[in-house]
Amino acid sequence: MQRRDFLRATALAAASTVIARRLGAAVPEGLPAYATSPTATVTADGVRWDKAPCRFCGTGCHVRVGVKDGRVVAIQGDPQAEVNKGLLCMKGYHVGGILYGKDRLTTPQLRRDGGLVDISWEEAIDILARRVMKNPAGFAFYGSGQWTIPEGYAAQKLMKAGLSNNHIEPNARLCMASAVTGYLSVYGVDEPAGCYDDLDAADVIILWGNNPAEMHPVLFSRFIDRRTRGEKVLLLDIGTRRTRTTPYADHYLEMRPQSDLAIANGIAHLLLANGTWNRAFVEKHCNFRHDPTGKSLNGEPLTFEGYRQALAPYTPDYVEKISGVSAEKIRLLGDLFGNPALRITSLWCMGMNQHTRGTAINRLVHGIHLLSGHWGRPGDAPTSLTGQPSACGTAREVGTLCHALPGGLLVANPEHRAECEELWHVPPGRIHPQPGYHTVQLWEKFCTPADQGGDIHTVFVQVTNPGQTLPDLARTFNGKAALADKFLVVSDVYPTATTALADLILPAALWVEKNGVYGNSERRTQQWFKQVEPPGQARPDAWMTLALARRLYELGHPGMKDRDGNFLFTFRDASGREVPAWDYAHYYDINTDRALYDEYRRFTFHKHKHVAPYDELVKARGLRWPVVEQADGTFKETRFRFMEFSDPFVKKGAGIQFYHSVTKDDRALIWFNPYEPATEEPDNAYPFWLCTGRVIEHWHTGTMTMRVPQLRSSMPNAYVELHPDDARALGLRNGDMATLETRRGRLDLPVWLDGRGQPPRGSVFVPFFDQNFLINQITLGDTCPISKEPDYKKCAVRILRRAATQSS
Amino acid sequence: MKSPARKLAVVAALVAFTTGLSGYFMGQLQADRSAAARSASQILNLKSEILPSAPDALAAPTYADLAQRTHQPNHAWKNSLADLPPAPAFTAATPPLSRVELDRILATRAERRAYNGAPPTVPHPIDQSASFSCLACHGQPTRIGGRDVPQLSHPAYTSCIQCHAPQNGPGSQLACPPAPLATPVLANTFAGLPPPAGGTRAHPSAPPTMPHTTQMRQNCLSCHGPGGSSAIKTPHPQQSSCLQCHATDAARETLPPPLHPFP
Repeated sequence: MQRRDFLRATALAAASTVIARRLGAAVPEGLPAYATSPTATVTADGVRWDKAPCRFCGTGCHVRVGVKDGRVVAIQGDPQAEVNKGLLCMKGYHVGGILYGKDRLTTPQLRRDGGLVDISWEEAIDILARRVMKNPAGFAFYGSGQWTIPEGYAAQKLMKAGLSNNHIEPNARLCMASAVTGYLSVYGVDEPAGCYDDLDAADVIILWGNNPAEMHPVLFSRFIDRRTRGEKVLLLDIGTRRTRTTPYADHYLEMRPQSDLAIANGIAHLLLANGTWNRAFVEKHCNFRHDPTGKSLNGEPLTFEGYRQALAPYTPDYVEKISGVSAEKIRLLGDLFGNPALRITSLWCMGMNQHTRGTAINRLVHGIHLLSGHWGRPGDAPTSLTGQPSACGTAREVGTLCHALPGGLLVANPEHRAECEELWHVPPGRIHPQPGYHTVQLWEKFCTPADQGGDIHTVFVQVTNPGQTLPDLARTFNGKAALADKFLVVSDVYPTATTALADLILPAALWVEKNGVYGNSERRTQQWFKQVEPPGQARPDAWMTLALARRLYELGHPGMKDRDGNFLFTFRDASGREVPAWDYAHYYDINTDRALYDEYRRFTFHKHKHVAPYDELVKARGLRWPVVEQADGTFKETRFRFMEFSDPFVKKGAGIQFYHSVTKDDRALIWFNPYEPATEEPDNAYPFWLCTGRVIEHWHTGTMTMRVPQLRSSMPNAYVELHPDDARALGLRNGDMATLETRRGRLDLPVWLDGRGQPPRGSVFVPFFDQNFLINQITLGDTCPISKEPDYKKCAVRILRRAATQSS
Repeated sequence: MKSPARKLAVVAALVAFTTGLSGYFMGQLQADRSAAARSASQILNLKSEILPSAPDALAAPTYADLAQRTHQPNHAWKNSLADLPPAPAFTAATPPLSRVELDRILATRAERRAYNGAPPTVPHPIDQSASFSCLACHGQPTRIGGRDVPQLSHPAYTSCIQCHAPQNGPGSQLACPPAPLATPVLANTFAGLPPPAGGTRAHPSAPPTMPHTTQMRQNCLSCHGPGGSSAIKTPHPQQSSCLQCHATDAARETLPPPLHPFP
């Protein structure tokens, strides 16, 4: 699409909102006309209801937001949403409360002489812009999977098309980078082929280190409630501790941490040994691969015979020895996968992704589905879940990563760079050819003095809380405090562990205080309109990025101009007049979100990720890409990718076609990766495994949910779970304070025995939501060598009874 | 998947278990009677003298261990909830509530909801690790310890603590919670939608309409029947097809009506 066409499209879109307005749908007072929503209504009690995706996890439930007198007063599960069909979880029902914590940030603040002073937005943006101007190459942008798609896209464009700087990363690096490298190395393109409909069709659901009863409760109910309706769903829980999910499982397979690699290989071994692998499927659709270096995304070809030999040692007895799961249960898994009549869905999230061999275990689980032919029918699917509302939409699809460009394109690929420079209408060579720093590296560089190679001097953080979530905080975050020449800018809604070290704090608009678009775990793109005003001077993150870009333009940064010398973020209204969206007074004159989204959408066609047009999203409760225009001008979503019955890009008659295949022959790759021990395992000095994770009440670092009374009352503080026998041996009782000590540091925590989860002997669990107990002070910073995602699930810790003199 | 042999074994085991259990309680009863005449010290002595030590019996926890132990059911535990008396048959019209009673009910209702339509919070400790244990009490309307226990209003959903958050912290009655820590409470100014006033009547003898949606409220008697928590109790519980007469109110539906086919 040419630039002129694009402008015309924007103008047309603006005109169509005028038509929509005439239809009479309710527009909240004080909001612009384009916020006309066909999904809104007003009930007899004067409450205006409209749709929005939930602010929390990657499930992507839709809520109906009830607004009265400019404030959110109620929430309802959206009965018309396919994802949640009217159901929510306790966080979703209380999502309205996150807007109204008393300590919302409402004015920009600058740290001066150790204290924070209120400053104006103009001053704040100017300070940030001048930091960038001083040395644009040492500036980094750190966002998250909670960025809306337009916010992430604006940041992406500013950095890569404007500043020629690839140091942009999302916190999603910490949560699903291994799932991405898994999909890329198996199918050549990211994101699940299946969708949540698989959960309605599966006979067997296998959870790989996954606790959906707490982490994805609505999806959990989706298959558990099938049992209430009399359907049979066999549930297998492969995990390192008993969770709220375990009592629902037909089989609990308690494994030694890291041994999922051996279990997956054990299943493949049995499929070959028993002759129950699906020869027809494999011969038609698969090639074999291995990765002798352990560091390669695309590895090296492997023969079937080589594959068989590599798997030969993984007998059930050998797997039992490594994993602690009985050979009988390994055979059960082998029999299930060997039974072609069953439909098997594998689900995973952080257990497999936050793993020093995260890419390998992702490949192996895809591999056993491919090898057994449990692939390509509804209910037969290997599906990764995400933890953030737009980890897929913004981090993965917009590609806000140091090595990526929008739409699945790559920085390192010259053709991809040229294509993006064309779409962005910037001079050839504008995009820097070298990938930037990945998350852990970026923060290490920021915490290292400039004269010792710490070449990142300023980080702009939006919608995330690295001061609580980065692993081994002493190394990756806290070091900043002692460095005078480093400058931390944080946009957030509440004071956090990150704002505690910030030099400049920017108050952000949250959720329905702005327009937005998210993308959930099943490729579903979801749009919502602004429904209430943000408090005080809080403003949308996308506006901050536009304002920064404009200030850089005014200060003379050459990258802020496109080929024609126009400002990089030029928007026009229906009459073609330029709208200065960087000026907040005019930000809502047009739907800036829509303009950014339309611009981004053009990038999604390259790898057949066609996201839906904005107007289609306005009408729908999200649509799963690829969303393809039909002969009659309507748009149709795709439930199952690469499958002819559903995916319009599959050649007629092919049945299944992996059209982005790594090997360019429409085949997926079945990988062999060996079991390897974790990089840090318990020993005599540090005899316990430490695992970290979430609880149902709190989302991520609890900055939002800890301010909701109903959620906070239910789970007021973090704790350490351990086995009662270990506790007895240590002289610890329920409620006692224990000291946890790793090679990185120590932390005191109250003990909870026989509580929500039950770890086996030799293993402890601590949730990471509580700012008062920053467990990431002692976690391990080791990453998967391919995905660069850290392992938060495994490190060695010793436990002590806290000395009496220390007790408060 | 169960083989007939396995089923048979289960039945046999159940029979043996029930016989053993009733025998045990009968024995216990008699022992208690004869023991009533003796002093406490004699009973202690007697037990150690005459009770053979069963090698497979569970060791009783020491007092020192009590704080660490969850007294969860073992194989000898008998669930007697099903034997509890059901809520009294509800055939007569309930007398109108006094203002004080009504205020109390409304205050309790408000206290347990962030807004009208929110899933009520749980006012008592729960078993943290077994969501479905809620159904032991909330699966049917009943009374426990003089308190009405409402029945589930949406029978299809059984992962109860997905939505209902306990409000007394994470502890249960039997396992001590982590000590609440003196962290600053983060205040919140969210003001939830208040409960609706009553429905409307077309004329004085018409059945009132419903002032709320039916989402998650498939079982009207959960609130409006015996043991229900609502101030409004049906005066005709023998008629159980509620939606036959009581209409939902379109003006309260939070979804827009379908678009008119002709613009």
